[in-house]
Amino acid sequence: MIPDWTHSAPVILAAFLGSFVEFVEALTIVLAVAVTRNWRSALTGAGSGAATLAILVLLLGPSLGSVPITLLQVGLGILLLFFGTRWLRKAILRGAGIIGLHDEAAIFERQTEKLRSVPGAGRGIDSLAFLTSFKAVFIEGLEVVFIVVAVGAAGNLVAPASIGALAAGLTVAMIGVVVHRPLARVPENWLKLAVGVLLSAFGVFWIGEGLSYRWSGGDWAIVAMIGGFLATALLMIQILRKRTRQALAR
Amino acid sequence: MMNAIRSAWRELAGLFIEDWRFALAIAVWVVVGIFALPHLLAAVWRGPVFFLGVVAILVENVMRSPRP
Repeated sequence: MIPDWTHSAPVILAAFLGSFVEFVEALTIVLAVAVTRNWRSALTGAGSGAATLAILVLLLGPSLGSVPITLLQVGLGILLLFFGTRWLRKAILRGAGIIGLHDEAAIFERQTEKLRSVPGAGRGIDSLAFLTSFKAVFIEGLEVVFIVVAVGAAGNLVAPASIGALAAGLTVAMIGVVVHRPLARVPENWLKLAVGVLLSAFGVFWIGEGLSYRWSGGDWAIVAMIGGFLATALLMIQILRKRTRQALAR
Repeated sequence: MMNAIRSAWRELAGLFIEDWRFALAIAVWVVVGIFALPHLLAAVWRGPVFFLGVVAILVENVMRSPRP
């Protein structure tokens, strides 16, 4: 019998890594708002963003149950494929040095500079700080919700996916409370590459399931595709790096 | 209001699409996977062929990327 971990372990891992990256990005903006404007507005904005998202999930979540499973698998599979391959493509180009790496410290600097250039609102709720913080948490949170729903819903694994995302949120929040700085040392590109690999594999698998493709090896096809995407990505990074070195040497 | 909707739409689309050629190629391949592969291949081959198609699109796209 195939252990359930074949499905739930990659789901937890994908949700944890994907959410971790999103939470790190949200933390950078909220911290920038907090240190340049005020903590109260930053935290109120972040809390309101999270609350709005929670309300949306509660309102729209139950409607997923009424969608036929094959339609849900194909629909979420397509979205996962677009989302995952977008991250994978970008991670390959960044890994090969073709586009610049995502730099949390630089983003923090840019954000604080921008926020400092606008006069503050004193001790009360600062609307700029509130809105910046709200938007960061809402947008990044929306991506977390998408990852959890997309990797979990099609296989009835929303609970393990939520556990992965929750663990990521708590980890980032705890690190944020302790260090009070953007998490610039997180190897974000490698995390994005890993998430891109996982989500792309899930996307292809769910599309196939929804269309009644017959996967050799059943659920183990996900693991095989994870290996295939990962090997392709690492190979492409090496080839593109070599091409770049040769171009620079000329 | 319209600006806010446009901005929200851009943010939402940006989650899934960055390079339009790449997204279009994936979209076309998905359509092939839904409508053509079931008629052309045995069920056991559809998954691997669909997966290899996605890999090929990814490889072609990153190889075509401009040099730094």
